[in-house]
Amino acid sequence: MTSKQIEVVSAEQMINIGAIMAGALRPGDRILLRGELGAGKTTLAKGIAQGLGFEGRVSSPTFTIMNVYQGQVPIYHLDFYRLEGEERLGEEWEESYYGDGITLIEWPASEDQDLAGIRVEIEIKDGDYDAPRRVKLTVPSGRQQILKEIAGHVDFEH
Amino acid sequence: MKQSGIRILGIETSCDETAVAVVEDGNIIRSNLVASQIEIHRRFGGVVPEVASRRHIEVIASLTEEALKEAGLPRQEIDAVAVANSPGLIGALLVGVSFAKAYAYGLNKPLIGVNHMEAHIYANFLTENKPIFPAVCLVVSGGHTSLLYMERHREFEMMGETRDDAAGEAFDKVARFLGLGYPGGPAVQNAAALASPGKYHLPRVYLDRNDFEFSFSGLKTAAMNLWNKLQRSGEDAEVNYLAAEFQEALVEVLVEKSINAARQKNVKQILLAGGVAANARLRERITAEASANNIQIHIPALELCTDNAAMVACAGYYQYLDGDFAGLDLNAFPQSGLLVKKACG
Amino acid sequence: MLILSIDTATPSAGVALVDEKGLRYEAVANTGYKHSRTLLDMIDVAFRQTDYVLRDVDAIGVTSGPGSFTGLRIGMASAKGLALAAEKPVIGIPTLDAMAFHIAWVPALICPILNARKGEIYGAFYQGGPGPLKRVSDYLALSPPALAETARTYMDQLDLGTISLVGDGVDEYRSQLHDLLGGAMVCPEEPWLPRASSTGHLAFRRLIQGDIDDVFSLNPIYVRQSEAENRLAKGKGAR
Repeated sequence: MTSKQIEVVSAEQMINIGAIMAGALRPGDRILLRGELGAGKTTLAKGIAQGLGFEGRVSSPTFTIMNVYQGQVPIYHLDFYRLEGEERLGEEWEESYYGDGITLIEWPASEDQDLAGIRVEIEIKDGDYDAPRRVKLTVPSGRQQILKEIAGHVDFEH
Repeated sequence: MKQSGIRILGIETSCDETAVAVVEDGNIIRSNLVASQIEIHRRFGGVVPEVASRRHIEVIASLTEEALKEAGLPRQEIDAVAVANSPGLIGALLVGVSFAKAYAYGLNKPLIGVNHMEAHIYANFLTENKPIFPAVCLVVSGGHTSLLYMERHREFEMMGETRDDAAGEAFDKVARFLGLGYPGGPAVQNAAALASPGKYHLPRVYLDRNDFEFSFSGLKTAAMNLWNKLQRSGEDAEVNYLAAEFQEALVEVLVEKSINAARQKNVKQILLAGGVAANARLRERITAEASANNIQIHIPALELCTDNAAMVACAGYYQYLDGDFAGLDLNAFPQSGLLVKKACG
Repeated sequence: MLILSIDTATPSAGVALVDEKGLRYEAVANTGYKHSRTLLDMIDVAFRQTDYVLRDVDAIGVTSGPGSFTGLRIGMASAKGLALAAEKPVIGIPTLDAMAFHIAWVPALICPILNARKGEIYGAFYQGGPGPLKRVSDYLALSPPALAETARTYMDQLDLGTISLVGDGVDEYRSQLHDLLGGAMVCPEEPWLPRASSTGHLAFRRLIQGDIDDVFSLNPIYVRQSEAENRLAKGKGAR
């Protein structure tokens, strides 16, 4: 497992990073998006979906829990904000978990339940929403290409 | 097919209300029952899908019998069964859809799959004073914020919608953040009623744009940011004033965009629909603005704004007239693909 | 007396027609969680393939749990809808009872198990043949080691040397259960599916005794609370 951190100054940059990440994703990948309300999880998801060739609207799935977008592969955009523990592993989401698409999960179940996932943690420093976000990316071994793609476009913090 | 005395049984289980209704000819409400789960979910601070689904299966059979009894109709005198099958919580929708399919099959009557958001719009037709086309509809709920243009029944043109959070979602999340409680819409409205907007300032997002797009994620973030800053600065942070400003900023954008949409399409009718249409400030402001612009505003009665089955039966009635029936393979879908099937814009 | 039985407790969906002569029709679709789309069509096909119509049915049997929460509700909602509309009684048959009935003659401790996720299985213990099948435990959600331990207690108590396991829990935990139970364990080699006919047979037995359920109060047997209720019970409150 490898982790890197980036500072992200704007929503545009967040979308851009998502789109770059998308280039290194494979069918079956699960991306776990963590961060407080308003951190920019949906914004990053939007970038990933755009990077995967989806041209439609990416909006928050908080209400219905799941949105599905048809890009080059199916994109499952889940939001477990309203769900608790086991319900986040419910059979309703099975197709999106084990299918041939790419799954983006906001408010995922606890970390140890998904070591194979690509983890993104977005931090709002000192609760200041105007400040840049600190984005920490953690990829499973063998998937460093994702970090390399991003490094080609933005600087990681050292 | 008969043209009057058409009785539709409506069934609604898309979120946290189990609802069954009987509506005759699209606007005579023979019965309209709602088994609300608000008290059950309040313990959890929000709707828990598994809990909602469990409650739906517990009450759906008895609620259906009661609705027929109250309508004074033997079940054989129902002409069709209409059920909301999208959008909503998939597990919750599946209870209503499975029940409705079996019920229609058992009665040997047609089955109608209704879009829940379309049903919210049709809540405006559950009256003697029906809207006249063409019209513009503002659909605002926990999952949707859209402006639609309607030239005739069951045809919708999408003029604009939210790019991120729905208005109701922003209400819920800000209410939770500010500790105002659940459900978020009434909680913010009640807090706002104790204060007035203007003490703090929040942005009117996208109001400067000449289109009909919305964005409420930014407003939500701005409200939370302002609250954090006020708390840190040690100033007297007054939550009710922040709630009032937040509600005002949101309502102002909704109202102005709706009026602009009506002006651009040169229509004299605006239909308000969805759970957020129950917000008193929105009702008040859109009514005033519409009247100042010589536009007729239609707002469903309060109990028809929140989730109910009369609106499902009403939307089902217009599908019945078109002969638009579902097969035995009718399924539930979480995402609406809201009205896209007929969108031409 | 004719039973229409419905089973959607697991990824396989089934429909059967059972009368005094036994099984008249059965269909199983092991196609994953598509029950909401397929179930009513399967029922319609059952009638079209036989000479029966819904009017001929005397009661509707439904597998009532445990199992997939959503699957159980699809079956139960369909059974309730049919029962009310066609004015038929409804009879709920616990999933594990129906599974055990399938091998009721086996002279062993019978233990049907279903994959319950979270490292657990739903299971119950029954005393097999000769003689009528008798359930000796509650419906449980257990880890494989806890199941093995409970199994040994019942085997000692009932003086049975063999435990016969069936169900998709076997497929999921086969090697672990073999390690825990050793030579005492017998189970099918192939994946084993619940059958709507078992639900139908058990519902038929209840119907002829006049033992029917109340369509309004019949509910799925979940065994587990929802996770949110668990948290609340533990005093953790909402997130």
